[in-house]
Amino acid sequence: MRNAFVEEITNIAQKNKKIILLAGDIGYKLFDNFKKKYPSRFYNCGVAEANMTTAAAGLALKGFTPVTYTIATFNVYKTVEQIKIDICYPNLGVVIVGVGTGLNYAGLGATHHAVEDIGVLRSIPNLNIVSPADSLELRSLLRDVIKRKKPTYFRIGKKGEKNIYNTMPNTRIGKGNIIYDGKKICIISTGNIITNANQAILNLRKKNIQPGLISMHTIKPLDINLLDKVFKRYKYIVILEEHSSIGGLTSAISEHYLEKNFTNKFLKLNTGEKFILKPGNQKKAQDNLNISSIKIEQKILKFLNLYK
Amino acid sequence: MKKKYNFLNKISTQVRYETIKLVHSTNTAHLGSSLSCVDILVASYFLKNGLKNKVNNLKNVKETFILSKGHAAPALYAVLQKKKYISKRSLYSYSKPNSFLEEHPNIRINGILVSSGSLGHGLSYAAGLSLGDKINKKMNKHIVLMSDGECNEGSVWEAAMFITGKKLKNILVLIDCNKWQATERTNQVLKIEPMRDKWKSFGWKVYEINGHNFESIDKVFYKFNKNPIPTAVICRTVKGKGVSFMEDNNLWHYRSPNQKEFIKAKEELGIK
Repeated sequence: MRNAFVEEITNIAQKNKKIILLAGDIGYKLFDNFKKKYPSRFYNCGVAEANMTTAAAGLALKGFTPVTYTIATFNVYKTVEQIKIDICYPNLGVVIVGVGTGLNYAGLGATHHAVEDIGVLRSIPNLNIVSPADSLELRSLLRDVIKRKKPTYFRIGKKGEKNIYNTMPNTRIGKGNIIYDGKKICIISTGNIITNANQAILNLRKKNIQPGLISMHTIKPLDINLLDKVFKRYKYIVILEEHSSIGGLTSAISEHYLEKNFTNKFLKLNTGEKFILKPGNQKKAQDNLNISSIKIEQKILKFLNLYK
Repeated sequence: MKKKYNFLNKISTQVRYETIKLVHSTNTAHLGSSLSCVDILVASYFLKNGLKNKVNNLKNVKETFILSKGHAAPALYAVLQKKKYISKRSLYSYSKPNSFLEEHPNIRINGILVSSGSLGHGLSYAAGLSLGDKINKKMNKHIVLMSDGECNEGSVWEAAMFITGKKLKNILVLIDCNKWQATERTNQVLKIEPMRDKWKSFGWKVYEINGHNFESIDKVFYKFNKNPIPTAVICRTVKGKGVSFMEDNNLWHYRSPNQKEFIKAKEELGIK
């Protein structure tokens, strides 16, 4: 996903001369092409994320569209106040890119696990939170994000993720994508964990279970129209995210659901609320937390059995 | 001090009086911190070598002034009124319901570019503005007023390194060193001195002056205009400056003067 991000922002920057890329000393050689093409529009800001974030706000005041880029944990947790006061309060069009969200850096330990980022940021006014499912959705969303010039947290994976789209979808912020229509049960998910849901669905179809699948790539503002349609159409709802059980997509949907008179049944699949210790790699960690494709499949079978 | 600076003394006295009146009438805080930087504010806004007549134009950002020590807002508001950025009526709405003139500056007030109040943000903002100028091949002056206590914040030093590291220009930092922070002597809370050496070692041009002397401030402005490299000015000041019983007394970080104290302060300032 990060390669797709760099390629796409490099393409967009060809026409949009206002784009300035600020990196927090991350992405070795990743931006070489961008730097070669636009030498005066890339700055390595060092391991100083607070300054990078406010400097981006300063650039935005000058009419630029700054994009800050570093590992999600650093670009969110070290900069919350800068994001709130310097970017969101004046409503400036800065894009904060968090790379390696969720458990992409599982093996690096809890210092690098970005499973609280949505929860930390979601209550800040004016901030859009966008979490694309794959490289193709990322490209489409990034174009829309740049066009809108609003404070945006752009939450992406790392590398080698599978695509779930065949071609680039025409995706807009705040409008969730229906990947599959299904029967009775629907999975709502966000970010690249959705590829696990996809695999689980392929397996479940062999057992004559046909879940729908929604990519809720925009967590804020939430697509409540689509949610209401999903609640009406499907009795059984699975909310899947590579994020803490607190503050993320599950919380956002719950907050909306509370105001409604639906009678759906829910299955919540996420990373829980504890520090994730001895994770091994991402795949192993996901399996331990019941969000690998095989565990998603098993959990859904159990969930449906419960209400037979 | 030369006679040509006499007019500034007069303005400063009026700004001090307005500041005290604002704090007294609303029972708000930060009077000592406001009074210590009145002369720096007045010098910045009224000296020919200081700021131009229209700064912080949000629609077309060129020359800027950032009050990074946002808690000195009453003094800034009084100056903005004198420079006609805001009306007298607006000034006296300070801290009242339905007024944008909160106890810290925000961008809804004419003449304010960035909302401040949390310390350690202003210099990074100036860094971004100056970087924007560099990309546009423009030269605009950016002045930041900070406090000595504010230099506790790590982000100040991130910005200091960034500015010289990226060879940015036209950033002038005025540090109101009044030797006190909210609860204790600045240099006893953290080891902040020697301030001059710290900034110097970060690659900044440094001046150390009396922050109540207009001639000294003017000289620094003049030198900076001639050679606008990143410049930090250690302004040695007195907290609560101008009122004998407030001077260097940290009680006035939070306390607001009662009626008796207000009258006494007014008398001392020679206001009729």
